[in-house]
Amino acid sequence: MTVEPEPQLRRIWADILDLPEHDISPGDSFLSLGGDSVLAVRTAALVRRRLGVVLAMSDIPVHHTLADLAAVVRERGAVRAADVPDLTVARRDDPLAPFPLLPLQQGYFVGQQDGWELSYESAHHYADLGLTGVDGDEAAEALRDALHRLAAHQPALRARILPDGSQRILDLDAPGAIPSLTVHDWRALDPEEAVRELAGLRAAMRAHGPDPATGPGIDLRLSLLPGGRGRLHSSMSLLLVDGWSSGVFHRDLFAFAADWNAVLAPLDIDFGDYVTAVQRLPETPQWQADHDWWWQRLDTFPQPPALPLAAEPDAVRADVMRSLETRLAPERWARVQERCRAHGVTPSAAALAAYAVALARTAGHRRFLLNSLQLNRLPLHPDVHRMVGAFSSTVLLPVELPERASFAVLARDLQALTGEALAHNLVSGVEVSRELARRWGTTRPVAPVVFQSTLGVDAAMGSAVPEEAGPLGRIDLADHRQELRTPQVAMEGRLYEARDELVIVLSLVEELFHAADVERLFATFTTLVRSLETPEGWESTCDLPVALDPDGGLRLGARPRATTGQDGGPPRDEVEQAVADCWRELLGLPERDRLDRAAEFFALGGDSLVAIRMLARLARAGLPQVTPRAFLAAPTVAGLAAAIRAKR
Amino acid sequence: MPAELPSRDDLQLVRRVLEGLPGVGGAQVLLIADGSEAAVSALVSDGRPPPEPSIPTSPPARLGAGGAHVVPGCLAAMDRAAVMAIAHTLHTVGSFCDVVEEGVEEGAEKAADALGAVPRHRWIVRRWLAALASENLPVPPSRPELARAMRDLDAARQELGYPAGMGRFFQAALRSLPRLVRDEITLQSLLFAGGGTSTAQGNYRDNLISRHLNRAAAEAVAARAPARVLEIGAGVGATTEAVLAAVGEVDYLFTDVSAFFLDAARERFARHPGLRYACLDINAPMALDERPFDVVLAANVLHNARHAGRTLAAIRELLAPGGALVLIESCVEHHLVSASMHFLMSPRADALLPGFADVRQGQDRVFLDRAEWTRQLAAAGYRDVRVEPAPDDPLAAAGQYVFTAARGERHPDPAPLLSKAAEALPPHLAPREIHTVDALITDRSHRP
Ligand SMILES: C[S@@+](CC[C@H](N)C(=O)[O-])C[C@H]1O[C@@H](n2cnc3c(N)ncnc32)[C@H](O)[C@@H]1O
Repeated sequence: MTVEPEPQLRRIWADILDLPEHDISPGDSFLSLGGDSVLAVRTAALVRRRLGVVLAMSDIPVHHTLADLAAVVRERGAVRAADVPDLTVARRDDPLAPFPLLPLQQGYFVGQQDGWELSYESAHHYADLGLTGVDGDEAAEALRDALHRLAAHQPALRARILPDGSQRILDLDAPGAIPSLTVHDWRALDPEEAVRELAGLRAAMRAHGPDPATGPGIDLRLSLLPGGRGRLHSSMSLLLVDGWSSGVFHRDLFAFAADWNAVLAPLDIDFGDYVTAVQRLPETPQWQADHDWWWQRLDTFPQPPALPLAAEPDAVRADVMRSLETRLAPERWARVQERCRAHGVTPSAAALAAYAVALARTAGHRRFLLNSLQLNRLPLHPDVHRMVGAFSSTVLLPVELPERASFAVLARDLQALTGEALAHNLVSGVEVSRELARRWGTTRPVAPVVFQSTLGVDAAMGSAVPEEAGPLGRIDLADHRQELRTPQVAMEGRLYEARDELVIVLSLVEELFHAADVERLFATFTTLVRSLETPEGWESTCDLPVALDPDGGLRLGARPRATTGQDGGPPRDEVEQAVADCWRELLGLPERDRLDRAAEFFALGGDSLVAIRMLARLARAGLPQVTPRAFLAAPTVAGLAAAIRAKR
Repeated sequence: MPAELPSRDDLQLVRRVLEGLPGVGGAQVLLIADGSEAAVSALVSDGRPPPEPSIPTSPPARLGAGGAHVVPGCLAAMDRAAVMAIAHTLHTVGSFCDVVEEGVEEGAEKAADALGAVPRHRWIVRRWLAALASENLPVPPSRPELARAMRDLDAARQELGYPAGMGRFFQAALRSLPRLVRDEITLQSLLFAGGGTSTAQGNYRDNLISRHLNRAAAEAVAARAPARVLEIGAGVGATTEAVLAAVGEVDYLFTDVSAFFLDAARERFARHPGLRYACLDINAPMALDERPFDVVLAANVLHNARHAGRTLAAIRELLAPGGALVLIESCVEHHLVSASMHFLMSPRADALLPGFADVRQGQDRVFLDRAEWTRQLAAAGYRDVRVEPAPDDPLAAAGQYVFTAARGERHPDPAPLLSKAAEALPPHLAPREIHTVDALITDRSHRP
């Protein structure tokens, strides 16, 4: 639906030129009404803000009439339709002021605290890309210059996470604000040595990601190799940079490096402005409706796929996630897409169906909860898609597969399921999971099996990574490696496109699973996707386990582990009293209610972020510091007090 | 559609008529804007020798206490970066060697063609070639050299106290030179990115040089203990802010040619009761429906005058007896300015009037130098001209000065001349305004 822009534009001119609206007719030029080129800049800004349409300055010469401007606006963008909540994103008065973390950022933040099952010292995404024909003398400086410009252009690259679980953007002039580039010059080494160095660098960057609590959220390296080759290595904290942003980052970085003269259209808002705006989501009727929708369904949600385990998740301490990868050549991938179109199914939905079938067969049952990572951003402002930031969220998918059905039917069902869930995405999967954990009485991850597809993101971003980048030479996207390490994830199926190839990846915490199961699961997943290039692949029947729900054994799950129960009653000593007082204050519990020593923190309304803050606060008050891990073993007043006493 | 402009001959005719009137020794005639039309304006002198220039009683104050010693080095780094960017820009269109091979004049034409420069910005390309010639760059800069120059620019920017946004602006401008000369983007869109004025404030307020100058200007205003102040071209209000802090309660008329700045100032100075706002163009008749002012303040705006002498004379008429004019002006054309702010000075493609009509005519320059302003002020009927900072002050490297001048007292009312001229001339040539001045500056010998 488009809206006729002229009345709005008339209002904008009236505001800027301080004229009554009825004095402005469609044939009047901006100039004749008293406008000038400075005021034209203002027009562009207001058109962006009010109509969500981005105009280049060349679109609005001062002699344009109102009718001309309306025509340009109509052409530049269908005026935003009305199903998005009515939140305006505006620049904050103080761009350096702290702002909250978005739900998924909170999840990652908590996941770095080494308390919850499957946590790591850092959540990050590592990638390296092949370069050929590198100008070894110019590349480093060109890249440094590009990085500097990018840090100025994308404020989120200057963000830091604060100890209380909030974040802020540093001024460009603040020490350490601009991420630095490290150059590894291995041009003079013989090829084998260079390969060894490369492997060493990769291993180090995979294991240790940047920590945005103490420095930039991104670590960028350039390795210069013999024969005019090179690689660009980046490691980005998921706390600050999501998958979409990583695409934006590389695209912008290469654009800057390629051309000293490149200037990108300025961003009117930053990530903090967006976060600040979405804090008001709960006040909108759309959010309320989504909230009700999820809360009404939650009690029917199944457990995660009960994959057979080789070890208990809370006993596993992994450094890296293992990845299996396979690729589909451009022609085959094009045929798969063609068949998807014919069946009215998106390639992402088809891949999800293949993944679900593989999971069901390995887990031995057909009903389970999946977690789908969503790169979507709420289109609250026309610049949102061009920004770097941690916008991502998740959406929970309660999958229930039929016992026998053709693949086409499965794909369509899952597409419908995903579509329905996404239609209620104003409440993120992270928030839904938190409520689910509360209802299940568990502190374990409720949906540790993840699906992620970034197919189509390039198109949404508006452009892809260029083929060439000046002194950096040619960018060989097909020659790239990626690693992901996300907390609270046991297994993740991922699809993305590199140039015209399809890449299918399965990342997992290796220590958790039996190798044979993993191989089989990956083979099923990829064989199914490959089979989709022929009509038969779609018609064939997928046989699935008879069981709807899992039976026993050592399996992946989210049910609470048995904890030693405590006797109820009032706090028994001053440590318990101190804990109770702290909880009462942080959770805003009424004074008069007696806090039972057996009361559970999460049942009282606490969440993981508040838990981190609570533990820090008790430590500041002079009590011994208890780790989240020790706290989670018994998250009650008495349990925490016991952990504190044990430390003394 | 405005009527055709009066020709050169028409203006000669007006001059001869004026010079034939009793009491007129010499006249100078030019066009000004009057609404959407052009109108005739004239300066007349009685032919008596101008009064002896008055010698200031105390030497000019030094402004540069505290950190100003870094100014020369920083400005050199900034100019260096600009020259590098200019060289790179010319190099990308194959015109880097044009200066060497063809000289500045011819080379500039070729370079402007190669860049696809629009006519209104070609004078800027000519400035660039002159800049290149003066800096003697043997070869175009490499990417690493450019990157280093940009880093040095940014370090200098920081050292001079400009905020980060100003650094972004400089860099955006330098990297956008090809698009700027082609008018594919405007400098305004870089300077007022997102519709805000914070970058411009960085340029006129939040830096070492402007802080000193604004404070000096504010002290000069406050020293007069004015009851009524008129500010011209007040823009982002950087000087306004300093003055308001220095003077007590005043009636302060804040003016600018663009309503954009009046809006922003209304918000910004909402808590100051004495402020009033109006549009005022220094290239149009300036008579205001106002009582005379004790001080007129014009910071970084008078170089926008088509004819400096005429605007100075028109301002003098707004002053009360004993009143003073306080000016801030740039008197040196830094290369960085030629690669940024000068884009604001190109005439609009649909401009009513051609470029400068004073000593700057046909010279590809915007600023008058220090001596020229002093001379212009004396000729336009001001006395006791003072200039700060002193030449040996490190701050003088910035090439920006505060001029203070008092209204002179021997200027007969031009009204009788206006009516006599109207009788003698066809209506479209009858002067819209006549200003009596102490001397006419007609020579162009005074080139910098
Ligand atoms: C370089 S800015 C200086 C701003 C301010 N005075 C300061 O120093 O902070 C020049 C200002 O002069 C104004 N200006 C330009 N041409 C003018 C004219 N013909 N008459 C009056 N003001 C003009 C511009 O709109 C702008 O605000």
